[in-house]
Amino acid sequence: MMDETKMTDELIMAYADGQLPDAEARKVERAALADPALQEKIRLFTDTAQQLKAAAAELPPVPDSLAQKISSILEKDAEKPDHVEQDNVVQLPQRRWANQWPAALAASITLAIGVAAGAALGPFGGPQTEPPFGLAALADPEIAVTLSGAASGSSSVLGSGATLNVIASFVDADNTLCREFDYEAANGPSIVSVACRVNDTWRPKIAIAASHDQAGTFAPASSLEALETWLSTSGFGDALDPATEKQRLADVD
Amino acid sequence: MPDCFHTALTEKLPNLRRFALSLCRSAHVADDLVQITVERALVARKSFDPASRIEFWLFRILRNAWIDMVRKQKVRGQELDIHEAPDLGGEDSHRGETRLMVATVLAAVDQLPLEQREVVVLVCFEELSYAEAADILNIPKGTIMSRLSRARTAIASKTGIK
Repeated sequence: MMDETKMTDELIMAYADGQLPDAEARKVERAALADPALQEKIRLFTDTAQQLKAAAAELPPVPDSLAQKISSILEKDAEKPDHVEQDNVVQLPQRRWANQWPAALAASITLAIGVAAGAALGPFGGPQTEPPFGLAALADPEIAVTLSGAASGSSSVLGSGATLNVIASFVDADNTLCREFDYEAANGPSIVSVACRVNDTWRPKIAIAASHDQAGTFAPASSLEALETWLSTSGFGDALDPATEKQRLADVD
Repeated sequence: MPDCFHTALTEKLPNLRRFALSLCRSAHVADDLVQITVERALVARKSFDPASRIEFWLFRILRNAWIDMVRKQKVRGQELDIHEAPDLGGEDSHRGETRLMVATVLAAVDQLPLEQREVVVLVCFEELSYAEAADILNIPKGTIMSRLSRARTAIASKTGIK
């Protein structure tokens, strides 16, 4: 049976650009077998595509005057009070301390269990209260000890068999030292938490339960986004550098 | 804390400016268009779907800004200042043999009529699909294809690709 498809320039170009569905692409190929003129047309479109692509690699530079104008517009925008609420571009890979997150953790956050401002960690300060619902894991007294001494990036195995990874240190708007950490119980969920040093006690400000699902596959990271949102709206500065952190920890003891 | 949206905008400035240049062929009008685009993008940022490609969204804003600008100029009875030398490729791109070919191709693009030029920039420079370009330019996909094939044929004859 004769192939009745008319080989228009548009069709040939779409073939050369890889924008034809398979069935139609096969028709063009079949027709081209016996048609040197068609072959040449295909070459014209593939060649121009390549030439244009090569030309496109060299973007004209943005003039300094424009770059400066735009950056001052963006600076003004960043100063707007409702700026954070406007942000609908949450990109986890660009998170401030993204490179400090244990890889397994990023894959495993499943449930936020909320802010626990009233609870104290471990044996320091005040009467030991019952751990609030959902925060039993944070009752491990060694958490507070480790938070007072371990450098960020370090990983400690506690007496309970749990692992405590200290992620970062930073100060809040009141210059209170806070530490973000990940507590992995020997069996059971991991907790990501931020605790701040208030009245000689480490107090968790937020805790998010994380668990590895049984298949070991990636769970939605929306809870990590919740943590990110909380961090970005809570007035914390950037993560402290190792020297500053060491200094602040020395004051804790 | 760096704002991802701001970062994405800043990264796309060269692409926005190239598209703007292809529309208006005037460096200073192009700069105005890019600035308007950034300002409108900031105002409309809530309408941006983070799951989609930001350049796609930005190109549409820029093209609408261009249409507005042309309309306003017509109303005022003024002509846009398009007398500056158009420069789609930048000053430094004209050296060496490959550079020469690049310059030839860019010059050929520059001589295309506006309706073909904008399609070439979106599809061949920015690597959008025909359908995406049709969406930005608000014309049928078939029109994109006919304009683009005519443009490519013209470029081929100008650059000796044949």
